[in-house]
Parts: sequence; C-alpha cells; structure tokens
Amino acid sequence: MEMTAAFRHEPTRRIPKDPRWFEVAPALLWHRLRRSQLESKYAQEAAQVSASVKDLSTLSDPQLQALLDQSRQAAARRQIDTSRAILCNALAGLCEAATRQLGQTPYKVQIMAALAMLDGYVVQVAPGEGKTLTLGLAAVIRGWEPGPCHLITANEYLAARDAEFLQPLYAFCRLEAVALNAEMNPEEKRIAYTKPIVYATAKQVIADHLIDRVRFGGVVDRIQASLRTLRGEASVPLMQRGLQDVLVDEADQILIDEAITPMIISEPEPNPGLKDAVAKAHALVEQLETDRHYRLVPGQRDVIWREAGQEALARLAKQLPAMWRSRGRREDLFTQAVLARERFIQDHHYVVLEDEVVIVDEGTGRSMPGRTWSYGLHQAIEARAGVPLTDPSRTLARLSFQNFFKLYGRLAGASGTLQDIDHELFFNYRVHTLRIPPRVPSRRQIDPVQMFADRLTKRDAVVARIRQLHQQGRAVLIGTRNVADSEFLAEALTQQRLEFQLLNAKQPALEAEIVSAAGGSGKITVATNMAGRGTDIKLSPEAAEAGGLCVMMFEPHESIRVDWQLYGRTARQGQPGEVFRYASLEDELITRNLPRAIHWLARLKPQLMIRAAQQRAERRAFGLRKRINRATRESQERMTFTDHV
Amino acid sequence: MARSTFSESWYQVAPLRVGLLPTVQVHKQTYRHQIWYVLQDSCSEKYYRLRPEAWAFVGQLTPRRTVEEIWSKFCEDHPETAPGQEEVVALLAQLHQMNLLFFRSQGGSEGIFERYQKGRRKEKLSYLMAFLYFRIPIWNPDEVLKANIGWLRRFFTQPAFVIWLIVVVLGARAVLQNTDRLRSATQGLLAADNLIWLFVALFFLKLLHELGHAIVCRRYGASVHTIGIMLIALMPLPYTDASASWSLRSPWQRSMVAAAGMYVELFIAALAALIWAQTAPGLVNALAFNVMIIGSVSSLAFNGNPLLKFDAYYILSDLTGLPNLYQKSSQQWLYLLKRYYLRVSRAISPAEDRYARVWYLSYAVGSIAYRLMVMVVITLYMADISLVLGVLMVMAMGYIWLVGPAVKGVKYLARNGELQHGRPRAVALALVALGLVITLLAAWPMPQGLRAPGVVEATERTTLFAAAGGQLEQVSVDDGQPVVAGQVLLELSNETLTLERELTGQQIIEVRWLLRRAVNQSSGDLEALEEREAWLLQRLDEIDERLTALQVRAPHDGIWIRSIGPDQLQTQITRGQRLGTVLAPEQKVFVGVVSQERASSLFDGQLAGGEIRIHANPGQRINPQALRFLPFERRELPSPALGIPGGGRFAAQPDEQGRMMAQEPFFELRAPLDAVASARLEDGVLGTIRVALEPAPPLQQGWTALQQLLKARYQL
Repeated sequence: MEMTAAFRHEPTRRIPKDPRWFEVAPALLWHRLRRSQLESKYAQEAAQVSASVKDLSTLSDPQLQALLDQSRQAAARRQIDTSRAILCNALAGLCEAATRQLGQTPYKVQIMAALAMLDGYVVQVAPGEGKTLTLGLAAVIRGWEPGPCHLITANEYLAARDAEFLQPLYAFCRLEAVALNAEMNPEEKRIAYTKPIVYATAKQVIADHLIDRVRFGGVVDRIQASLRTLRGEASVPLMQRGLQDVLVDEADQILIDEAITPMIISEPEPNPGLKDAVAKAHALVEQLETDRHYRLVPGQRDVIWREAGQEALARLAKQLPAMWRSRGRREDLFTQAVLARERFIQDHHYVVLEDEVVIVDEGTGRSMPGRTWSYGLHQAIEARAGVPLTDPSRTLARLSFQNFFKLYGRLAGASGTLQDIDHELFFNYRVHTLRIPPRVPSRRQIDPVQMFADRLTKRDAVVARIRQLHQQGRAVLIGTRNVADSEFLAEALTQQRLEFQLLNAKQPALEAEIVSAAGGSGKITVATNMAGRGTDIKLSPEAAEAGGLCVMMFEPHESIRVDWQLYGRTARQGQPGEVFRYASLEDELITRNLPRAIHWLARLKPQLMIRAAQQRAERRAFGLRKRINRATRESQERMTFTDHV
Repeated sequence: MARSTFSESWYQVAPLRVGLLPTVQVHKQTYRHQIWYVLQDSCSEKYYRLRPEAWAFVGQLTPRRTVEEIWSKFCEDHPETAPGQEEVVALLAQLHQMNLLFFRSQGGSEGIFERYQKGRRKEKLSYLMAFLYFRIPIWNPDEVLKANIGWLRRFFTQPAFVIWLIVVVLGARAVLQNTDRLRSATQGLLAADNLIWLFVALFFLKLLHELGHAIVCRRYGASVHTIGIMLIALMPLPYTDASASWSLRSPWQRSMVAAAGMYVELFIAALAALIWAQTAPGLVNALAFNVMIIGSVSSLAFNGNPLLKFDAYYILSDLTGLPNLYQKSSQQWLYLLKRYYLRVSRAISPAEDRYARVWYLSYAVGSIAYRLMVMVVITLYMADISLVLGVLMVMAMGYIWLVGPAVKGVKYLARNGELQHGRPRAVALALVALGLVITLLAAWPMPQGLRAPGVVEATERTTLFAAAGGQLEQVSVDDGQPVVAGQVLLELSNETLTLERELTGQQIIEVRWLLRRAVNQSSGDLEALEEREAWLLQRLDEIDERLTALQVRAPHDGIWIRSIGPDQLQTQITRGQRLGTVLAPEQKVFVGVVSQERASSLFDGQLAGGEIRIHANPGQRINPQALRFLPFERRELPSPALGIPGGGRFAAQPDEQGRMMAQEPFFELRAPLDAVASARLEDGVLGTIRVALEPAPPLQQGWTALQQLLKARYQL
C-alpha cells in the first residue's frame, strides 16, 4: 500500500523571519570569539576518533558492520545528536569502513569537518582535501537518522560522480544513495526521493519541491494532507517526502551567489488576445521614435513615455483590441514593443533556432532553451524576430533558492571558500562558518598582484609570462571571468602560436576531463573560472618537478572567494604551486566599485584596493539580495490569504 | 505588462475563491463630486474606500467562482476599464489587510495571526505613547439610544435650532453686558478652590457633548456602540465612538454628527451665562460661571479648532471632501521633498488636483505649528505637576517630533523601493540637508532677546517715611498734585514731643540758674552742671528737629503720591511709617526685573538695544536710547504688581514696611525714557522690556534656555 503524504511527509517549516541587526552582530561576535576554541575541540575529538579507528582494524567485516548497525540504530532513535560518545564511535566505525570500502582513510581534518557539519556549521576546508568523503561521512549519519537527507552539489555530473564514488561505503552502512538527473521521470524521481540519501543539484530539488506544491495545491502540509485523506479525496502523488536535512557542497556558490535567483515553474497558456495585441503593437511601434515619444531608462528594461508619446499611444490604441485600449495597458504593451526593438538584440540577448527564440545568458554566453522572458515580453521579442508567437507561459509557482534552503530543518555545508560571507550566511540561514585548518601546510606561492593601466598591456604581460612558464615546462591554467575574456586571451595565444586548450562551462563532464589533464608538463589551459569546478587537477611528475601548476588570474573577481576558488586549483594536498595575479584599471571590479578619483591609489597599493573593491562588491551584492528577499517576503505577508506562502 | 496587466503573483491568486465577508456593508458616498464606495465591516468597524471601477470588480467576487474566472469574465465585459492582474492582486491584498475578505485557504493562517498580533502590539505601543489619550470603554448605549431616539431627536430639529439660536444670542448678550464682572471673575478661574468645580463642570459638559454626538449619529441611522472614559493628560473625561458616522452618505450629515457636541455645549454654556448674569455671587453663580467658560472657550478652542484632530477637523475634512486630511497633508509635504529635493521620479502625490494640493499644504503648516505649541504647553504643565511626568513628556515629544520621523526617514532612505536607482544620491542629499540644518542651528547666529517684566518709574523719586511719630493734623496737598521743594505736605502733631520740649527748655533754665549760683559760690558742681547743660541743649536740638519733621515737606519738585490720606486725620502715625512718594514727572525710567537665572546672559553680553511694550497699550513700542544693567542683586521689587500677589511672576511678600520683597534676589535693567514717553507714561505703568542680546546660534540659545528652565524650576 502506498503511504500517503500525511504519513511520510516531513512537516515543512515556514520561512523564518530575518534576524534583526541586534541579533546578528552579537551572535557573529560571540562566534568569532569562540572559533578557535571550537576548532581545538573538534581537533581533540577527531584525534580521539582517529585513535579508536586503530583498534577497529582487527575486526572482521561482519563485526565492523555489526558495530555500525548499533550506531545506525542509535541514530534512528535520534540518540546520536545527544550523545557525543555514540557519535565518535560511529565516526570511528565509518572511517574504518571507508578505509576498507573506498581505500581512503579519512584524515583528521576530514573528521573535524564532518563533526562540525553535523553540529550545523558550514565549514571551510582547504581545497583538495576530499570534501566528497567529508560530506559522505556526515551524510551517512544523517542518512541513518529518520527523514530524508539531501546532498546538494554544483552540477549533475558531480552528483552522479560523488554518489557513485561513495556507493560502497553507503552500501556497507546499509544505506542507499541515488543521484538525481533531469532525465528521470516523476515516478523514478519519487522512488529516488524515498532513499535516505539523495544527491542532486539545487535546481533539481527546488523544481521538484515546487512541482509537488503545484500538484498539492499550495504548500504541502501534513494536516491538510490528513484532512484530505479523511475526507476520502484521492491522495496526490508527491515526489519528495519533505525537507529535513541538507548538506551543501560548494556552499558559498549555492547559498549565496545563486541564492536569489527565483525558480519558476510555469506552463504555456493560450492567450489569443495577447498574441493579437502584441502583433498589432509590433506593427504600430514603427510610428514611434526614441526621444520624441519616449525615453529609455539607462541600465534598465524600462521606458518613460513623453507627452508626445502618450498622445501618440492614445491615437494608436484605437487600432488595438478593446482590452488594450486603457491607458495603463496600452503603455505596457508598447513599452514591451519598444524594448523588443531597442534593448534586445538578436544573437546577443537571444538567438533564433528553428523558428524559436532562445534566450542567451549574457554572463556565460550559453543559450538557455526552455527559458522565457516574462509575460508578453517574450511574445514581443518573437514578433520582432519574425517567428510565430508562442503561448505566453504562466507562472504556477516560484521560490528563490535562498528561501528554499531556509525550509530545511538542518542546514550544513562545506566549501573551499567562505571568506567575507559569514555575516550573510548567518543573516539568511542562521548558520556560522568554521574554518578547518589544512592537513598539510600549503606550498602554494601567491605572487603579488600586478596592476596595469589597461587590458591590452595586461594581456601582453600575461602572454609573455605564459610563454616563459611554458618554456620552463610548467603546467599553466589561466582563469578568466567570462567567455569573452577567454576568447580575448585565446586570440593572443593563437598569434603567439602557443598550443592551448580553451574551455568554458558548457559541458561539465567533458570539461572535467580536460581540466584534470591540465596538469601535464607544458600544458596551457584557458578556462572560465566555472569550468570543471570540483575536479582535481592531477599533476604529472615532470610538471610537479618544474614547480607545480601555475594558476594565472587574468582579472580579480567580485569576491575574494572566487579568487580563491581559482587559487585552489593549484598546490592541492601539499603539492607545490604558484599563483600569478593580474589586474588592470579597466577591470570590471575596479571600474564598478572604486571611484575614478582613487584609481591612482589602486596603482600604488593594488592589493589593498582590490580587497576594498571586493568587500564593497560583496556588501553591495548582499544589500541587493537582502532587498530582493525582503520585497518577496513583504509581498508574501500581504498575500496570506493564498495557499502559496 | 510587467507592470500591471499581468502579475508575477497572479498564480497565487488565480485559483482562489474569495468574496467579501457577509458582515461587510457597502455605502456609496460622494466626496467632491467623486463617487466612492465605502466598505464597512460591522464586526470590526473597519472601513475601506474604493473607486467605482474597483468596486465594480470587487462586487463580482464570490466564492462560487475563482478569481481567475471572475477576472476573465470581467475583462470580456469591460475590456477597457477592467483592472490589471497587478491591481487585482493589490486590491485583494488590501481587502485582506483590512479583514474584509472571506477566503477558504489555510496556508497563511499563521501569517494572519502574526499580522493580528503585530497590529495589537502597535496599538498597545500607541497607547503607551499616547498615555494622554488612554481610553476605557464602559457602556454600549445603542439599545437605549434606539429606544429613545424618538424624543431625543427633537433636540436636533429645526425648531430646536431656532430656540438654540435665541438662547445663544441671549447668553452672548448677557456676557457682553457684564464684561467687567467677567474680567474679575476670570482671574479666580484657576484658583485652587475653584479647580474641583471646574472639573465637575467640565465632566458634566463633556458628557452632554458626547451624548450629542451619539444622538445625532443614531438619528441619521448609524449605530453607536461605545461610551467610555478617556484620560486626556491624566484627566478622566467621557468619550463616544461615533466612527460609524463614516458610513453616512451625506457629508453634511457626517459634519452634523461631528458638530453636535459643540452644539450641545454652546447651548448649555449660553444657559449658564444667563444664570450667571442673574445671580449674586455664591455656589450657583460660581458653577454657572465655570460651565459658561468651559462650554464656550474649551469647546471652541479645542473642538472647534480644525487644527487639532477633534470635531472641527472631521467637519473640515467632510466639507472639503478630503478624508484623511491630516495624514495626507503631511504626505503632501513629503512628496514635495521627495519629488523636488531627492528627485524621486516615482513619488506619488497624494493630491489629485490643485484644490486638494492647496488644502494639504496649508493644513499641514497650520496643524503642525499648532500641535507643537499645544504639546509644549502640555509639557510645561505636566512638568509643573511633577518632574518625572515632565521628563516623560519631553521624551514622548522627542520621540514624536524627532526620533520617529528620523527613524522613518532612515528606513525610507535605506529600503524604500522608490529610491532603487538613486539611493546613494538621495542619501547624500539627505545628509547634506541634515548637515546644513545642523550647521545652521549650531553656527548661524540668530538674533536673540530676553524679555523682562518691569515698571515705569520716575528717575527722581523719594519715598518719605515718618521721621517722627505723631497724630496726623493736616493733609496739605492732595494726591497727585505737583509740589515744589520745601512745600509742606503733611502736618503731624506730637503732644509728648511739644511737652518734652517745654520740659527740656525749663530744665535748661534750671541748669543755667544752678550754674550761675555755682559760679558765685565757686562750688565743685560746676563741671557737672556744664555737662548737663550741653546735653540738654543737644536734646533740645533733637526735639526741635523732630518737631520740624512733623511738618513733612517735599524734598524736591515733583508730584506727591501719598500713602496716607485724609481719612487718617487725627490718627497716630508711627515713626518710620511710609507716608508717600514725591516724584519728578519729567524724567522717567523703565525698570525691568530679571531673575537670577536669566541674568547670566546679561552679565557678559553686550546689550544691543531693546524695546519696551506697555501692557495697557500693546500697540505702543518704545525704543530706549540707552540701556543699563545693574549688576547688583536686589530684593525690593520696584512695583508690587510684579510679585505673584499682584499678578506678576515673582514670588514675593510685603515686609512690615509695605515694601514688596522678592523671595529670590533679582537684577534690574534700567532704560531711561525720553521726554515724550516720560510725559505720556504714568509712574507705575507695567510693561515688558525686550532686550536684544548678542546674536547666538539657535542650538546654543536652546541649551541656555533649557539650563535656565531647569535651574529656575527644579534648582538643578
């Protein structure tokens, strides 16, 4: 018999309120004061665990499994949360199991990180110290406990890879883990979600969550489900069984950088009236001129109508369907027609493929089939591009990533880079960050920033340095901020007849392969910083001999975290490595965050000024995210009479 | 379409089945020739105003169909006027906020509860803040009113109005005919023994006032559910909740409800005036007087003042057709600030047209100035009752006038969506403005002045005291007559003194005889006798002197102002008793009295000039040519009228010689008057001198004033 949502669904929390400033500042301060104490506490516990692992090596596999079963049962009774001893025993057993099943013995730092995550911290671990296994250890404990545990990864490839890698360990611990992928059908997903550990991308989990909401008709609610069962209504098949625990890999990227993007579930809705109006408006907009009738708002997708324009609209509106003649609506309609003409450029903002308008992501240059612009605008652009108009899509549910993660009962995660975001993490999710010291002292050598007046001279300097390093037989990885920069650099490298690999984040699996090969001697790889994230670059012996992988940062990023994600590519696990950093006054970070008047300072003290610019950028981004989130929340508060809260 | 036709939130609303709550009543009303629909929830007594277009849609809402269905149908039927999705969402959210919406979903029940609690918290906080306006509901008069409205309404009919008019006119006439009595009686109004009667009269009048509201409200068909006690500045007074009058269609009817209180009060006051005019002093007279004053003055000054949010405000708001005049008028100023200073292009003016704009702008200025003044007066009054209350009031005022607006301003600058694209500039502009204001207050010297009460005095004046006691024999000069130096003013006789002179004369003769004999006999008494003779001669001189002094003469030319008159003829005048004053009329000086605390600003400051105003003739201003501050403490007030017993400001008591001595020492400011002013002004005329001090920045002035106030009142 299929269990109804009433029984198997974990109750969903309401999105908690934002903390007030007087809660945030003292909490952060208190944590800051306690941090080193916590660190040594975890170090001590980890040492204890490592010590007891040695005693277990004499046990046979069934004996070990029996031991783990005990821990499992304790976890199922939720005793592991309360008793430190049981937890340490369980971890010791797990370490031994990992040694036997995976051939990897967790290091002390990994145990520390797992402990901290189980206590609800987002941990910062040194890059290349086996986050996958660390998360796996924590996931086993969470998996043993009742209720689902979701493990969020940056992309589907990593989800599948991690799940597969840890499969023997999970199986040994009598746990099942699955990795979700977009191709699964709802039934497959439903089965996958019944497993104790689910590897998935954030996008996937949130989309499934929202689809469940749409099917259920509002937020899935146990009482409501019970009532429906009692009323004898057919139970709605839901994919997920609620949100309880989540472990987030690359926590900064998922919890901060992408957090305000809303996930929208929509369906096409036939609206012949709208199509008709859009087509008419497309024809009529030719009679309107910029500056005479309207003014475009710089930097925004908005139009301000001048008096002449309003008069013209009143005249033109007579040719529109009746619905569109009122003042507000005709302005809306023509605003979009104007935007479609002036602001959206074919092949830059969108491409036309097989008579369809496909949106192009301005940042990455990737085409995003399936995405559409909001109501009416997409049709206006289709009219502009001369393709048949599609039905406008109608929103069924929407939720931002940030608010989604707030719904989980327990949130923890790991990342290599958590600098500058402890405030935002606590503000949004009420979790603290904890830095786990590296296992072996880093042999990464980071050169001082070289500042140039403009991009061209910088490129020349970079290319010259690449040539030099190449001749020394070292492996070089150049990280750029976006595709355009990669190509800008590639152009120069081609001229210099240097052989290189160029990749941008379009095909994660293939890229991971290329990136992992970037450690060969004399290899030159140009990549956007997103490409092949989470993959180890294996150094060839010759390259290691020559001084390890050289990472060249073509341009500082908006946050120091992204910088460090790039630096983390080299000198992993005690290997040697060197980082070269370049910047120019024309870089986006500088032009957007530092006033022109102090650019001379940036030349004098590049390090300091880049840091200032990054902190400013981070603060601004936080402010923006906060504002958007607050606007959403306020609108939700007004809408308490609906089911979608 | 991103803006209004289609909404991102539509999916939340579309499948809902909502309607207005069954308890909601709809009233069609006209404000300035515009039709509005007022939704009234008879349970929660909440009101919400809708334009006809919105009402056309809201009226269609029914739980039988989804919002989506209703909207689509509506768009088909009224394609041009149909609201966009965004508007529908906003409208539903508004109705929901006002608890007017019926819906059947459960998702947000917690949210609703939270909102309710938030509302309650705010309400409680506002109680706490406005402890001046604490309300305790007591009784629901609706049933009684309904049962008795038949005869009660007769008080508010046209014939009743004619009677009202006659009585009020008669009352006013009675008062006008008795202005002098009125003036003397008014001075005792706030005397301690009258306060209790004053309160009794006030309570009784306000009760009738509130009943007036209730009856008229009921008369037009709106119900009144609460009568209770309200604490205004800690004084319990009755109140009625006549907010149901909102649902009345005609603005005249609404105004009538608001005016009913004053109507009743004025009528009672007029009756009381008639009684007061007809009765002799006594309890009835005193009561009638109190009722008359409160019923007219308080009802016109408070209820009749549209600048305060009492009855007249609502009348004004109804008759101008501008509901929420008060809120909107401040919003209008804010709008100007945002639109033209911060350059927020998205700011929306609350005024729809010129008419409303002019009203809003002018009303805001008047009401804020007036409210500020009333608050300051109340604060001083509370501070007089107790220092703690005063401090509380100052804190409340600081919150209302400084902290509250500042917090709102900061929140606006930090968060408001209107500023999304010009925030840094708006913040910078706001800081510039703030900086400018502070700089101006802290650095810009503003003229400042010091006011001191004072009196006109002759420069040359001599107060005469009896040098010798005696019986008053003759009063030679009438009061106020000019005298020349040496002229006899009074004559006293002292028989004892005359006899003593006789005796002394005889004793001298006797001594001289004895002396002569002693010389002849060459006796040894010679020396002693000579001594005695000298002593007796000296005594004779003394007595002569005192006898001369019995004739009181003018020491110099001037006018004789006597303290003892012919009615005291043949009575004994003791030595040292005040007889009167001779003053020279040509040269007069204005003596201003400055208390110790305030004198500090005179010690070091330059006196830049001054202006004297005479109380009896407020239009007359005198600019003295010279001004002198006497840096010596004094205690004797130049005129008894400056002391509290005489109606002045200084705590003082007469000493045994009849001189008015101030309890605290004070300082004098002397301004000689010119010949014209001297000739025109009588000696002893009261006035105020305003001294222009060296200009100082307002902040510094305020700080000094505060220090002085604290020092004066609380010896801090």
